[in-house]
Amino acid sequence: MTRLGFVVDLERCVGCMGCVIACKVENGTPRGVHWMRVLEREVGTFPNARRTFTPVRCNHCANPPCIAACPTGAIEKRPDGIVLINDQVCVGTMACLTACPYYIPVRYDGDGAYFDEITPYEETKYASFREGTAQKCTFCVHRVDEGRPPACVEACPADALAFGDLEDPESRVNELLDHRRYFRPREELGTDPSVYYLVGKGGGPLGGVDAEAVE
Amino acid sequence: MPTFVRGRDTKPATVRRPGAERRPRPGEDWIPTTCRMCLVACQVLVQVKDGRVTNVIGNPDAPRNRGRMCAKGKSGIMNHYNRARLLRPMKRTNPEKGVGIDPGWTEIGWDEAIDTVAAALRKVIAEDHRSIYLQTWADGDFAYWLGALTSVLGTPYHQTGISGTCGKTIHSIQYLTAGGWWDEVDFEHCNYLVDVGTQQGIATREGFNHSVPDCATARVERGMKLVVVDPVGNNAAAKADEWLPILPGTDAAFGLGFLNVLLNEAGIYDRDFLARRTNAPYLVGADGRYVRDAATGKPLLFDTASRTAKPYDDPSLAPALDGTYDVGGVRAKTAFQLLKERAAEYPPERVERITTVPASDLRRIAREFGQAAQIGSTITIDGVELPYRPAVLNWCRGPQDHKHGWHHSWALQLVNVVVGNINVPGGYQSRSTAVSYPELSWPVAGPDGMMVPAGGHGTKHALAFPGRTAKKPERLDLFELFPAAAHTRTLVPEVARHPETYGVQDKIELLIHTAGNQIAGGWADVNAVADWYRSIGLVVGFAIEINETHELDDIVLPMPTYLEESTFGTYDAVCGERVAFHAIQQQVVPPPDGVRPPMDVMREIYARSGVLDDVLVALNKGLKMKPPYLLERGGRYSAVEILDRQAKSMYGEAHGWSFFSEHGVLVWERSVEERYPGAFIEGRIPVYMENYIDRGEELAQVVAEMGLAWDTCDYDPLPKWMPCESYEQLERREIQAIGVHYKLPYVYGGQGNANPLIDELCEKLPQAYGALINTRLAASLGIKDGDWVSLRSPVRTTRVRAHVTECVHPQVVGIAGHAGHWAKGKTRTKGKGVNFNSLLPYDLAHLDAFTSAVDMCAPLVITRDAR
Repeated sequence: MTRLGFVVDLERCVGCMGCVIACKVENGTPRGVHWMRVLEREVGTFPNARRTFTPVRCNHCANPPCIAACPTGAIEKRPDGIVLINDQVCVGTMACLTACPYYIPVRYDGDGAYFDEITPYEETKYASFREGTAQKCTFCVHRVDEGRPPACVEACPADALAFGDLEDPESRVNELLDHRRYFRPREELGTDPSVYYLVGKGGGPLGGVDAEAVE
Repeated sequence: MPTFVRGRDTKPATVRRPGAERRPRPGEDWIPTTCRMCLVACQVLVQVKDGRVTNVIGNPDAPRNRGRMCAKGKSGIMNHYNRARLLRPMKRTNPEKGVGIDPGWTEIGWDEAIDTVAAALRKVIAEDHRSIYLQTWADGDFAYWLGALTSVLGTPYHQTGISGTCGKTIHSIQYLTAGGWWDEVDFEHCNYLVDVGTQQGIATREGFNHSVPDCATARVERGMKLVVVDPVGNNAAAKADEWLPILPGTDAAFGLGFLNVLLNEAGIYDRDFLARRTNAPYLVGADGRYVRDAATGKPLLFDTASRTAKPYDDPSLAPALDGTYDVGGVRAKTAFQLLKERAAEYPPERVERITTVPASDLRRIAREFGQAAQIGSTITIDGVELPYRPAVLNWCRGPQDHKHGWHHSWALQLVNVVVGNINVPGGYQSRSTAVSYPELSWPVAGPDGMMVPAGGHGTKHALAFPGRTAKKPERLDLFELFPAAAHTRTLVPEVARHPETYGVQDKIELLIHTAGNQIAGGWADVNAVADWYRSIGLVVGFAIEINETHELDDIVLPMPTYLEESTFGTYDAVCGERVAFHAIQQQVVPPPDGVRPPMDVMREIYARSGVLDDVLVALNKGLKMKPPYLLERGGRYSAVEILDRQAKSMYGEAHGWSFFSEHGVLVWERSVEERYPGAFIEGRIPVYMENYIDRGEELAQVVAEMGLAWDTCDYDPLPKWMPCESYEQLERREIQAIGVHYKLPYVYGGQGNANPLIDELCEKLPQAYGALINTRLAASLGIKDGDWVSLRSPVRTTRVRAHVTECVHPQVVGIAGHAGHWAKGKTRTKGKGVNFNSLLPYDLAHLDAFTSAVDMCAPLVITRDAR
């Protein structure tokens, strides 16, 4: 069995937003739609204060609450674990957003282009977006099916993102999980998310990220 | 001849990339070229479908970015398809020219545009060769096309950086101490990094896409300690083991305190390196000058074996590093002794009072750093034993751009010099120091045995050593009054305002600039720059869109985006890496109808002005043409023909333009000597700038004869801390805070926030368009997070939302990125955020009389804006 998942290294991430724009340009998401985001917050008091960066996206849960909640059956989980919204079936009730403990799906309402007039790039890219449907990360399924990594992984200047088969003990994602401290977001809810967050330096003291703050 | 590494087939050995598997180019419609969204110039593959650009990914074959891309690079498609793009030449109809005044553009044909510029150029040629000023950007071939005019006309006015304030000390000090153009950290080996006024390895700076991953590997996998010394708790501070907030304009005190702990308290320094590779043991007399051998004029050192003074190049020398000696009746101290005595004036307790950095922290960090440097240790790389110094103090923009900026920078750089980490594994590396292919460029020992940088990039800037003898200025940038500065373009608006004060006769009548933004990002107080632009007969700008600078142009000429243009560029290497490379930029899609490449436009202007043949001959030098590929008089070459001749001149017949067009990048292996040249350079590095004594005295005489009030206090061979105007205003409580600029990794460089994908990000992040104000300062002023506040400097008052935060020094206001556009062409971002530069006073009190840097400490009065 294959279970595709992500490992996000919070210690490596520098908050550069490379993944956010890489996702946007790869998938051509319209204005207002981000499948990939980096949350920023501040912890501590001066001078022992710092900002933290937490890349977030759909967690492609093994037990996705969104599937059960969707009234039209538009959301499917592939055998490799990728959770996809079928926009030919979705009617945009956003029950998925209500059900998602991570507040991930967003609705595309044809808000339009970035300039007052649509660009040729946007015209090509937006053709695959249906207005009034829910949107979220696909793990770059079109790339994955060609054997290529998701766009955010490829672009990440800090090598903070790893993608691979969580069931394969030899995979890079498992190599990282074997050697580092990690958590999964809101694991206690039983969603069984496929995204792991690494914290602290390799085997050493906790470094740039306040793990408590993001857990 | 090095071994070529065909990047597509063989991955360079130093590419370290954990994570997913990657394949080479995913399809046929991916064209290799170079990103130009900032000056780093990463290599990319651009997807084109049906003539449309639809995606851009990093080129995995390229050593510069190894397939990675940043947010800005990824957003470049929206710059290319910018709907506010200029598509036709235009001229102004409104004779009134000023900041925020509508030029009243009207469209004109190319013929009229070219004729107008050619007529102005003919007038320059006929009447006054020194009445033309050129502003170009980076190393693109167009810089040479335009710059060739200066050698044809014999004029000094070619400003190669967009900003008149760019690189005031960083390159000078690079050349002086490391023989190269730009610094990087050898992250592969470094164990301890102190970033001072820079975000090296985390955000911004050169080589983002290779320094960030290597720094992350060093931090996370090897436990490299990162200490960030900065007024702002920025992205680098976010990833640091320790953030030490510092008051702006005090870096020299921090550096001298650091040196004091190393040299006087802990006794940690590289004796052998200092004795052999620097002028530390040179004997200095009471007048501050070297004590010289009467017969040869060579500087003398004290030989501990024979107890006599010997010339620096005597092979029998066992030099004394410190101490005071009698040399033929002259009492002399070693340069190192003088440095130790200067450092002793900065005990950490005094440094704390100046910088606000606690004395205990400074002591601890300096000692940790010294121990981490592992002085005396070696490492063997590819069978060659090299010094191993895995600790670096990295500094850049923060210390540099100040009144007395030289002293801030020099004090910090000496920390690296005394531990001997220059150009060795784990240490402070310099780009292009030593190159043996495709051309030979290696530093040599020059006057007094001191290192002189060689060829390569080294020819672009004037050098601090030996410097020049000051004389009464003829140039508009007063270059003659800055005998040790790299360049002094910053002064041009000042001299244009007061030509009689300086007795300068030159008057610019024609200015041609590339698509940069000199007004919004180039200098300081925008009105000072606008006054100068207003005084010029004809200002011509090549433009992608109408930015703030173009609003002061008389004629704007549309030009291709970086995806529509081909340039050959230059070779490069990442510090310490096994490979060097040459990457080109090429046309991915044709420009829209009516948009012509600027090289074609200039060729036409040159032809109509009768200088085309002279320019072609001059271009041979700039473009490094070699026989049989030289451009000849009477030759009329297409753009591709010239690119092909450039490629073959550099890499031979087998590597013409068609090779580069197909592969995008040529990669070859480097020797250990090129990668870590520190131990393979003959010349010595100064710890004591003896030449500054003469340069300062010569200058003092010139300015006295001119009757000019001119401060020469910076011509001190050793660093010292001197306060800037804003620091003193803060002390006197005349202002509430010093405004500083800091970088966000997604808005690095001149395009800033104006890209709509980046603007969308900035809209969601309160620090991007807001001003950072510390919680304590905000409370004392009755300001709450999200309040509108007014920031008043002597030259501008601006309104901005307060982002109340713990992540900024309590006496500082942090202003991010490159925002605050006011030009109509910035359709999406006009009026968002703050234009930092326009808060900076521009006058002699705020200009450094040594480097010509503008002081980047903005004196601010802050009030809550109830509106």
